[in-house]
Amino acid sequence: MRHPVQVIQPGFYTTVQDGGRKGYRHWGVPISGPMDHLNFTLANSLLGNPPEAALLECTLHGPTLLFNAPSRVVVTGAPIELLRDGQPMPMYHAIDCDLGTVLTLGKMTVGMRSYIAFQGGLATQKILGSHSYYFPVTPEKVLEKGALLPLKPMDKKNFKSLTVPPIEWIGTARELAVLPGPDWAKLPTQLQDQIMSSDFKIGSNDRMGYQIKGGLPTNRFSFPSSFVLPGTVQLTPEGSMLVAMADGQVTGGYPRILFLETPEAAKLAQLRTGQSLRFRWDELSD
Amino acid sequence: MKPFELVPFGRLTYIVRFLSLEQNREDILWLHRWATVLREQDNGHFETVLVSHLDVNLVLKKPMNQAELENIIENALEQFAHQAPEGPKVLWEIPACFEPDFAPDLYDYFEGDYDKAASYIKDFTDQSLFVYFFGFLPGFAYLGGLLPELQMPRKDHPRLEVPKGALGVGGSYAAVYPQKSPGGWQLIGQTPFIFFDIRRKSPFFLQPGELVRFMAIDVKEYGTLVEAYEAAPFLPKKIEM
Repeated sequence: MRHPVQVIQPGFYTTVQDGGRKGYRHWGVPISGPMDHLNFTLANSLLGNPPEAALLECTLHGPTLLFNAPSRVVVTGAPIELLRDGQPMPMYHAIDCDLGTVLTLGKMTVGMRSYIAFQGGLATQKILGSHSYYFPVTPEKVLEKGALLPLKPMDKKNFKSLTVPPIEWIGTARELAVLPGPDWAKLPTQLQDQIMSSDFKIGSNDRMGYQIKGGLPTNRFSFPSSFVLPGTVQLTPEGSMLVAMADGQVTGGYPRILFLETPEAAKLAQLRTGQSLRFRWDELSD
Repeated sequence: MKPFELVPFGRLTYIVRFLSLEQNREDILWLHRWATVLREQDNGHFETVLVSHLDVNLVLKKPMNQAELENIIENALEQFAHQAPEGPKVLWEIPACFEPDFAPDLYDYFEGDYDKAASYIKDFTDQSLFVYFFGFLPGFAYLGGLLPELQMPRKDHPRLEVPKGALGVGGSYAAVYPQKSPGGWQLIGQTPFIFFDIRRKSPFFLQPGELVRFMAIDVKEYGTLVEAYEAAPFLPKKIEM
């Protein structure tokens, strides 16, 4: 069957994501890809998929899916209600779905994002080298009710029952490790000290970026438009910080004060509005 | 060989900063041509080669030590040293409508003085702009070289919604919004020709270092053009120089 996965309910903000739209940033196209790379890669690897196979990224409330063909899935990331034909199922474990199976994902109790990987990976349309939704590069912005998702054929030869060691949700981080950004040295020492010793709060956030607020002074730093990549922390004139995420703009005009490597940005992607946060230096930096 | 320094940006990205370059067309063109050489060498090292302002930003596919990267850059600079400097080779003529309905900020900016607005439009369409780089949104080209008297400060309060195809001026740059988005630039016109359109066979058409001149058209011509463009998106007139 060509379209084995039917979307009964799309969830709050569900998108197709793969490893990202690489090689188009110099045209202004964001890289996209998963917000939480660790759980994305983990979901694929638990099924024996290529590490960057396309899957579904869910936000706060997951989708309900009907299987029109047999498949096998794994759900990782933030703890989420997970039912197969009404029966609770474990996360981080391969779940067999037969013809007619309904997989229902509910609310996340903590965290922000969960990942549903399918054995073989999703085979939705690739545009500019990637399956990742990003409007208007892709016609879709989020998963829509009634959508039919094709899957890549399962590799029968490698089809084996997976035994997975129990994996626990790592919890939500309160402290993120950072590296100095390219413009860090241009800040006055007093402001640097304040940034590294203050408690901040998560403000509004989406796939483009996370706003982080907390008592920093307003400023008038003026910078030419410079390269920004996911994980870059910019200081805005109002004294809040803006962390570029997967769908973030490729350039920005504010000083790039700090940088979160992929694993730290993944932790940030699991934090919700209102949660508190501190920075510490990434000890692996030399 | 041009002297440069490498600024690390996380563990996979380096900023190549040339110490002798300036914000003029020759230097910017040189920078883009060199970046293109690096990108097209396809040696498997770089996921992204992106020029912003006077920086060439390199995102590596795998970690590499700084000495190795310096070597690669030096080699690429040496190969490039034999290429003669060149000026812009392509001029795109892009029709745009500057009438009040499509230029919400232009007439406000001149406090309703139509003569001043008309003289601004004449000067704006008399000059050719230079594609500096892309950023902000897919296909958002920073068009530089605006005469000082044509520059306008960004708006104090950005609009939450700028329409697709709006022509804006922000400081010394002009740009066409490639999609509906928030935006803080002064809107002075509107064109059907956006620089990124996935419906076209070649979704992107402008290259950094090329020239753009906007041609004023009236509301009726604009209507006809939009209809034709939306039926089957096409490219504007390209002049090889």
